[in-house]
Amino acid sequence: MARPEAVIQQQAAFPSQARATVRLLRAGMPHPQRLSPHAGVPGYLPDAPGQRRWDRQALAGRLCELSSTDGDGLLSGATQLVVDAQAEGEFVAWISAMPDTFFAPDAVESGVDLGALAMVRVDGAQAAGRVADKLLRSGAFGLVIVDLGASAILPTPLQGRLLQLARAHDSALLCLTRKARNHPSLGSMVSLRGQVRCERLGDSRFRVEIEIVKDKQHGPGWVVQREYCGPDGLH
Amino acid sequence: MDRTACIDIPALPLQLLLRRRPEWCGRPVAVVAQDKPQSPILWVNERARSASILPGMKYAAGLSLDPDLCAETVGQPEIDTAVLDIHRRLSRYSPVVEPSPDEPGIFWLDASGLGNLYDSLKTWATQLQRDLQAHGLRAVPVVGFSRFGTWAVARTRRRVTVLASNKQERMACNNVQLRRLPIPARVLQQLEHLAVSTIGDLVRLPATGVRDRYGDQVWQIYREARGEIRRPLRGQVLPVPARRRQYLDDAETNQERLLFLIKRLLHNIITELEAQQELVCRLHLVFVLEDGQRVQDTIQPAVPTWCRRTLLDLIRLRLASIPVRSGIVELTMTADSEPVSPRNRDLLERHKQRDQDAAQRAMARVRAEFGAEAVLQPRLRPGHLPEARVTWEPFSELNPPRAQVVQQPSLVRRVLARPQRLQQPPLCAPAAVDERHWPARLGSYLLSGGWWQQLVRREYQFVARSGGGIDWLYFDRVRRRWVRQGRVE
Repeated sequence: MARPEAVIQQQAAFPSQARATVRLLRAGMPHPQRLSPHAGVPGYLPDAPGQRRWDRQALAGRLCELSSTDGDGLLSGATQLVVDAQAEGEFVAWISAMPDTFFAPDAVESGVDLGALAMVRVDGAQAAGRVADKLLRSGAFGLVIVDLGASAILPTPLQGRLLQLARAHDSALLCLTRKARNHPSLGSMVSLRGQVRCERLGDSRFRVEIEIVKDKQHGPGWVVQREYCGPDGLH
Repeated sequence: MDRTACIDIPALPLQLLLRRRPEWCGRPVAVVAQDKPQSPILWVNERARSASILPGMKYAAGLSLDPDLCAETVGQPEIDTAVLDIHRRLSRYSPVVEPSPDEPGIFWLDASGLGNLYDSLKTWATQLQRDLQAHGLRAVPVVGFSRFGTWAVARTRRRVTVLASNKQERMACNNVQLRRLPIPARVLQQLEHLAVSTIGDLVRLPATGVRDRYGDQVWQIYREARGEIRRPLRGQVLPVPARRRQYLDDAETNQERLLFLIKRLLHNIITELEAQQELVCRLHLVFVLEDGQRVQDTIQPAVPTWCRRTLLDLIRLRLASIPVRSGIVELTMTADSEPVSPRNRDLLERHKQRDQDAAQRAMARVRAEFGAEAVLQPRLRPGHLPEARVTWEPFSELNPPRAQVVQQPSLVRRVLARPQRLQQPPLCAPAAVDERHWPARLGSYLLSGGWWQQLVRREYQFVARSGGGIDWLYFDRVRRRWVRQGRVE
């Protein structure tokens, strides 16, 4: 029987075998993909041809959703997208529909430039949607993240406007929601939806895995993983 | 039966230098790391070796031994280009070609199933060798059965070798001197003290201690020689240049219409390269005219780019200067490309430059509608308590981003705007907070201070929830209560 690493490399070379790759992942075998790869940066794996990417460019022009059942992995996954966008030179806006938000020192530890991050805190999903409309319309933001929480509803006309604006300005719009995998997405306008979870690998080692459950461009079933360390005090 | 061939192009950098400098034939030649007198010598030819000039010496030292010594550098890009070129040539002889990632000049080929194309494997290997020789490269093909066996035997041969059976390959491999293999000199000396000078002697050593005494390199050779590791061939796919061709029904002489056609071809090529994450380095244009004449030209932007406008401008300028006597009936465009890296990413076309003023105006509009308290910017402060480490200030200015991509990012916590008091201790918490054995606890730390004003003493804990997720809690020793500060997300 081939060694697991050899099997996984062969699987990763053929995108049509994405389901087999997911089976391997569920069996607990490591997957060579990483979140937001950057050539030359240690810790990142370079993309093999055909591998899907979870980065700002892949999400640009689309209405995307990142969900999590308990919220674990949600902020970490979104923060990496912020780092990726800022590394490209893009302005990023974070819209929070609830008073609770990310802990800024952890974001800085992950590489976020707070001076280039615009933060808006409003009450409710609809207000957050209107803020996103204004920011996307300016064409100045390459990534807009809307942190909606649980039981969030964005009206379909609003979703349609946001999608058009994201397309027009090549911006990525990512909504963070707290819901189970089998719950429907925010709406039919959502082009890409990932379900994220976090698991502990060992002492201060964690893996955040994003499973794409909806992808109108490339089809669902692909997975992106990234290793993280815990914040100070978490082992 | 599976047959594997190893093509050894010995001292490839030296051969490339001699190909570039044919006038140095017959003289002592060396490849140096840098164009400096104190640069180490990397490769030498036989003439230099006979003058006792050896790899590892400084160039100045070599020059003192033989003033006639000729030396130059051979850069990695030149070696990579040569490897790619050799790979292309070898692809004509086998569908599976694997260049060695560690030693440039070593290639493995799948030599199975060639019986219908060549009289014999020897004919095949000889033709291959002659092809490389015609391009100024001396190669030694060895056809055998295994990757390691053919590689080891190739290091000792000068002519085409076809090993008839596994047994013959094993015998030939066992006779290979260890000093022909890339083993450090210090280790070779140690092995020679034990009368271990060939691969056959090496494999007879007991496995215990080989790795600890002689290192990973020798251990790898040991295992491969014993057949414990058999890596299958993994052919590398050659990059295919992006190419588009357009045949015209009527000969075209109008430059504007021609540019329109070129723009369409350019768009298709760039779309293909964008999907592959490759940038355009050069564009080769070939025009076939009505009278049969072929006009070729190459456009090279200042930096590799996806910018259609830039490339089209360059093509327009070049078209104006190309002499076209009769109309164009065929147009071919081929792009040389290179992978995108953070250095050469072109932001101008991929996404238009973001307007910082527009971002400020958008934030001002949001502030006008939702109030100043809605538009914020986080600022870090020196402090220990979570609420003291961050302030949320009114938004003033958006700066150009300077993100840092870190090797291993940290998980990000969600902090509750109003920490939640727990009515009862968290599940699975022991009766005493000091209890060491707490299976759900994933870490803890103590924050204590403010004794000069208002004593604060919190024992922070990260606790795994039974349904999944990690809570960020603390036990307030002053008030004797559990509080949820947030969650790790």
